[in-house]
Amino acid sequence: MGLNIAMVCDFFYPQLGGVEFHIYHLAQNLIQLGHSVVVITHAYKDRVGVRYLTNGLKVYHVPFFVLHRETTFPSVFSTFPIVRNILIRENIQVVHSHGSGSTMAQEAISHANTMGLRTVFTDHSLYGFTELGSILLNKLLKFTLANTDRVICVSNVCKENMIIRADVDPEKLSVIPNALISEDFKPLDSDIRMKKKGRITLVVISRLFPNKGCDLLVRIIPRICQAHHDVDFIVAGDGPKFIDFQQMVETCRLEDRVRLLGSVPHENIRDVLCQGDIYLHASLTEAFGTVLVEAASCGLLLVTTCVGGIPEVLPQHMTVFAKETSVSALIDAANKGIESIRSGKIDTSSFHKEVSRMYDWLEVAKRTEKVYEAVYHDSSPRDKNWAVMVKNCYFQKGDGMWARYLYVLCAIVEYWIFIVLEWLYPRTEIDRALKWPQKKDFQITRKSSLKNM
Amino acid sequence: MKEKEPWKRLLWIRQDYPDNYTDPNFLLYAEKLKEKSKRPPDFDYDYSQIRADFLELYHMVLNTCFIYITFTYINYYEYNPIPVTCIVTFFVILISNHKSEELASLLNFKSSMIMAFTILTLSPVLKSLSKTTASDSIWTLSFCLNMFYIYSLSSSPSSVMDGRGELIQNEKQSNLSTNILLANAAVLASRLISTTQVFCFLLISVQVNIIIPNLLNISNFKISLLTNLIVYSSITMRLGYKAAFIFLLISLASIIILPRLFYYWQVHCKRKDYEVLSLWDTKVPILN
Amino acid sequence: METSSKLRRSTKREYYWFSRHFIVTSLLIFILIWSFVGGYDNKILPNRNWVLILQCIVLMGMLFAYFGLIFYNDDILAPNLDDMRTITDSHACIVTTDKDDLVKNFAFKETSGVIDLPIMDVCDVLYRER
Repeated sequence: MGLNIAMVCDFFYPQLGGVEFHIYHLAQNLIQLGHSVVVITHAYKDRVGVRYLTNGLKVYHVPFFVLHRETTFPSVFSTFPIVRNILIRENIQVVHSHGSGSTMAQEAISHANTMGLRTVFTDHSLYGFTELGSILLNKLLKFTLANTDRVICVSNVCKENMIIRADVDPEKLSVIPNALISEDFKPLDSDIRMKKKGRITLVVISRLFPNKGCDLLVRIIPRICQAHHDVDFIVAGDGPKFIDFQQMVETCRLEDRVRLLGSVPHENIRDVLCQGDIYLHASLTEAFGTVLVEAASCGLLLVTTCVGGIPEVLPQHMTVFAKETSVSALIDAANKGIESIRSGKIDTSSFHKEVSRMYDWLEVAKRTEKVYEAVYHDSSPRDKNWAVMVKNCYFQKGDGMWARYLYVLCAIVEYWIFIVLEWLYPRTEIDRALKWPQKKDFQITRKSSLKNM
Repeated sequence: MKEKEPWKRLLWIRQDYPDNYTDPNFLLYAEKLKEKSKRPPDFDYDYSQIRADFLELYHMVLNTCFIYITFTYINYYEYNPIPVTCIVTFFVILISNHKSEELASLLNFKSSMIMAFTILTLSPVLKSLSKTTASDSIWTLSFCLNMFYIYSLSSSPSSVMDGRGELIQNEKQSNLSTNILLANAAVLASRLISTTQVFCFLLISVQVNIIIPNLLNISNFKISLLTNLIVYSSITMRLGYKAAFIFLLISLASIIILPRLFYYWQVHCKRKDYEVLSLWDTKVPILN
Repeated sequence: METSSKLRRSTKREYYWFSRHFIVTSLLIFILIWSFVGGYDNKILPNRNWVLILQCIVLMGMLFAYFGLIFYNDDILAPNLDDMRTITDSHACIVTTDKDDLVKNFAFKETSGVIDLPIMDVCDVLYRER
């Protein structure tokens, strides 16, 4: 008997990114395993209301005021009525939130805790400790995670970062990496690859923001083009630093060697990757780096900086690491990579098979299912007792007096709102939604309906 | 029984350990971090350096008073500004010749001539620029610009904090503070009456606040003594003994009490493990 | 040289954090003093009513934001029930094959891209007689 799971996050289709695809593929594979999954996110312009995606994945696009970069306005209680309604009508048992930067996800966890449901949180990025935004976010996260049953992180570095940031018990934190659909990232056939021998192409795919190392790339590309005459570049992606790339191409007159593709839709990423021999990744911070796995699956050699979770993701023979995040170190690593490709020392044709064995979404879904089982195994009704939850909030270690009182106040207001909502919109008056049938049930009914005709 | 393989910090192999297994090395590390944050911090910079830095901040603020002194001199007392301008310009030329070599001083001469003529050309424009604005809003604007100027000067890389004035890697020279100073001077210059006054005022402001701090070290004992003398005597002459006394109190408080507060903040309020926690910060790109 | 410049940079960051702490704390103390002391007969600080009104506006503004947010979401952002946006939109990629193909390939299988199912077929699958 499967669980009824709700995935909550601000970021979902039509926005395209790592978190969005993670939620989508994880939800699909959990449905494959027999659970029923619903996704709750905010409305994207005219995509409002309920949508049904393939395999019966139901998505609720809740109309909500969006503040900045697709995160909703952070008011601690405003989402309570609508989220409560959705959770009741879908008979949700587990709420799984994604992303510390998503206000809807954090609020949904508090609401689910108030309603007595089980909660799981997944984090996808690394956060520092000195920026004002990170400090405030970590404080908020402590309040949210005080009563969460389990936390999932996408890499070991992410887990350690989370332990220090939010003071979570290490036993509650699991590490489940991202995955990819390897059939979608097949390399070109070997005879086509033979034909384009001669020139070596380096591919860069990233959102062009400063923390993705665009300052480094803008200085690396001209120097590599100068040093090697058989090397071309393809740069895909858009962002504030796109102008720097355009200026670099114009100043160094590299129009015939560097192609700037701008924003590329997700379906075409594989085609862009297959045109290259080496993937260059200059990011300054990275929790997992799914694009690296996709590039390796397409048979590219990786040249990357050694930050965050990148060393944990792929084996040594598939990557060339730069010692530090400097222009010279990356150029050395790129030179090494170009030499290995030129001399034919590295054969990248086996990469696709290896990667398909390493990372698989069904595996990720099974490990997540184990986390849900552990939630039920270790749980007791006392966990969601309001007094116990307030006590957990109050006794957060390392917080000042003001913060703890503020948390307790928020919790009490939340409980009051819950009582008011139970009175105003009783549970018995909320229609329960029909669940998408299982494939086997559906086929039998089709057969029986044919018989009856 | 086969011994379990040691846990490896890799995500791509299937290991025999549960998903919530924690690296025991990391648990030790987290314990050490907690201990470190409880212990009082060990200081590797000395207290006299902190006091010197706060004194430099005080001198920066004093330096900005010169604009107002010049302005009062020209506007309130209505003395002739030309002799003062000549004296200050003469001093600047003397000091810059003394410091740098032949060719550099010649080039400096050319650029300073260009600057001086530009200011001369712009003076009539600036004089009539904000004639219709009320004086009160000009004073408020000037005050705000002064605050921004002090803030930008103290957070620029070529300021105080590196004693020998050498550029720290990766930090670009920013001329934001110069621009704010010019804006301040321009705003005040709109209150003056004749073009000569505007020209002299702008020239003196630029020389005293921009050129002289680049040539001399304003924390030098003799120079700071001279600065203090000029500023305090001007305040006494214009505003009276009470105002000068209050100004003196505030300056003493900032020089003596603020370093103490800084020390107190470091011991009690600051999170001790920032250097260690920078492990997870976004790395700084080194552009070499 | 390298370590001394690193030391200088770390001291500079400390000054920056301390100045942030100092400015915020002094602002708080200033507001507290102003709330209690400033009066019409007091020449130093402006009239006390200014800061009291400001504090009340902030508090009421937060309350207003909560209610305003609820009304904005329900009345302005939420379309009517008979609006086309509740069923489909400009970002949707909808399956356009016939019923059997849809049931075979899309209704119970995962696709690697995000594809919508048409609402009539969804209703058919959900509400078909069991």
